[in-house]
Amino acid sequence: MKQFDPTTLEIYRALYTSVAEEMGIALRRTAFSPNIKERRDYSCAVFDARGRVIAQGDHMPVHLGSMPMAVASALRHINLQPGDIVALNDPFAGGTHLPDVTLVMGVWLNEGKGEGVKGNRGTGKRSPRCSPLSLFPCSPQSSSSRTAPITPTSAERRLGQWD
Amino acid sequence: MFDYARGVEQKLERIFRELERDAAAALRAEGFATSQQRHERSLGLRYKGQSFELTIKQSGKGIAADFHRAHRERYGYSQESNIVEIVNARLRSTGLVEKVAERKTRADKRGRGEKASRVVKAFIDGKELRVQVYQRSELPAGARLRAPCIVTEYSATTLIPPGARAKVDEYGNLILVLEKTR
Repeated sequence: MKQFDPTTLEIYRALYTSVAEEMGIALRRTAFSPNIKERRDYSCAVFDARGRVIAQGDHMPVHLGSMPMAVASALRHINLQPGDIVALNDPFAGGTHLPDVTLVMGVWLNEGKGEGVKGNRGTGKRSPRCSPLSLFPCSPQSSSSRTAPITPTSAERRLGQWD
Repeated sequence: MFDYARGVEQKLERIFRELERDAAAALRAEGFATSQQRHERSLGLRYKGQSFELTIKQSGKGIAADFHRAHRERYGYSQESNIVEIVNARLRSTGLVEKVAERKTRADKRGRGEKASRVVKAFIDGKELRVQVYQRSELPAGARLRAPCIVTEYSATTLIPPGARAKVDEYGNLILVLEKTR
């Protein structure tokens, strides 16, 4: 393993942490959901090409702790290409509660060579058949009103297919 | 706050004129003639439903078009079908001041050695030395100082360590050349 001197290590730690922090800032400043823009119920992190955590924003521990499993699941099921975003909320694929939707996107540097992955997750993306902005899956009595899990193998995975 | 619609430009023009009138009066009270004032207009804009604005300057191509472009540049996408909200109108007014002329330091034409104001004992690298102390304001342009020495002034003290060379340039800057680290 490559050894870094303490100064270089600290510079890169701050650099990658600021990437995750700025992802969060962009998410919050462009958000329409009060859950994101007011409650800040979101988290962002940067991973390497193998899905290992490089840096996390100063966000929600419950999101960040499980995010590596979500990224691993996304990388296991999808061969990420430039422009792809994998969306998932399945608790069996690294998701938490169903209203939390995780987005995993690849970052390519040096002309197409896969270099890393970033993920962000937030509550409040309106899930199918769930009341807007709800924090909980809807009534479990009726299967038709339940929030549907999105797994990385769902068909809706190409960026162009989201409106 | 109001939704973007026709007629908004005229309303904004009134608001900006009012702001400019107040700003011009404030700058005039501080002694800036109209020709020495600069007023820059900007708008705080966002999509309906967002809570944060982007501050943009109007290009004349339309407020919404300017905002869509700014949002795309900053965040990677725009929502052309969404309503653009004007949250605030800002004016930044500046009183233009003349640039301070660079003043050259007088040169000592007689070329005599610099006179130390006093000599003190100093510990440098663990050694006790007797070093000259110079008043920075007394140093003429072109002066060369023999190291080690100390230069004092109202707001700072400069130690010129053994082996360094120090020279005063024509603007009074102290140029130090340090000996290469052995």
